[in-house]
Amino acid sequence: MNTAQNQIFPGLHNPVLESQQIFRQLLKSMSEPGVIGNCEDNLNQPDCLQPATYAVALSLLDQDTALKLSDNLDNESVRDTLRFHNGIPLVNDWKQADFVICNEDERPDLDQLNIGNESWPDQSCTLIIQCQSFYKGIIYRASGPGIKQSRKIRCSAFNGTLIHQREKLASRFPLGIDLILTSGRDFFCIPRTTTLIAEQN
Amino acid sequence: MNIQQRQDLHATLTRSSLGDIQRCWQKTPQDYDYQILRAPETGMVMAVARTENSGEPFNLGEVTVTRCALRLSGGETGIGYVTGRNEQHALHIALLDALAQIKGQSEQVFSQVIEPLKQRINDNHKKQQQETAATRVDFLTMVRGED
Repeated sequence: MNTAQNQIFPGLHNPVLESQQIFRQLLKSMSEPGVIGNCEDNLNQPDCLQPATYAVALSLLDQDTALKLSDNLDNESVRDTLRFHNGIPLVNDWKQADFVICNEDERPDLDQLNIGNESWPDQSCTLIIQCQSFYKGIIYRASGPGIKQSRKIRCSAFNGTLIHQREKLASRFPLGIDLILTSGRDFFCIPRTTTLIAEQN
Repeated sequence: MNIQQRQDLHATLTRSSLGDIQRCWQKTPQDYDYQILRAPETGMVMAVARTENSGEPFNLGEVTVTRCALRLSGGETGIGYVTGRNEQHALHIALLDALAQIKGQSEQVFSQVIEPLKQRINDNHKKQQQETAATRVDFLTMVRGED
């Protein structure tokens, strides 16, 4: 009935408490962009997902949030597990997704995603990117609401293309895409209001 | 185990008390190697009813339900749903559901646990019917002979 590739993984051990803890940290990181939160190390997640990605998905998704998985993450095991625990509807179209989970090397262009509409900018897509590391790559200086002066941020998923696409979207504010970056057990958020500028060495 | 047998298993186990299940089943959950997928949790389920089988459906009220899901080391996934808040009851049902999916163990589960429990439910039902029948009162209408 269940083969090794097609199995449901256990969810949070204490769903109520743990999802609230993760949600609280996400809230902090969304309001103070760049602040790193982390999840417990007791998770047993599908192979292609990182613990933080799995924890964030279990905390945020439910039957009202359409999810799109990028190709390398889109397997029966992940689908069945998230459906089982969250009852989420999975979609195949980037534009229809309220949440997208992807690896950093297969990130969709931001303009492929739903950026919300003038009446409901909050209905935009939230992009969850699984990164290799928060200690590699170019250092960026983040500024904007929630950051006192500026904060140095480093993440392997940040590159010129992403920064350029974010700059282009900035003119459409309040429409835009919020990012959640995950790596291992750590995660942080970069909402649409944060400006990223590459640090000159 | 086919779908009907599985329905039968769940219907029987959820109607039996935990005590009855433990009496029929000589083993305990500790005897097995399993992984909890969804720890026993209690929530509410809306019960929908209608009057006299033909009326419009309406929400009768919420029912307390406890559910549980687990996976045996062999990969069989079992689920358990039970009304009320007895977490051990839900866990036992989930485990028996998973065990009944193992080829070769299914017959044992049915002969040792399900059949005796089913017999017990039937006996109780019959006993109750007999007790009810003993107190039966027939109402007669006197005919006045007008026609």
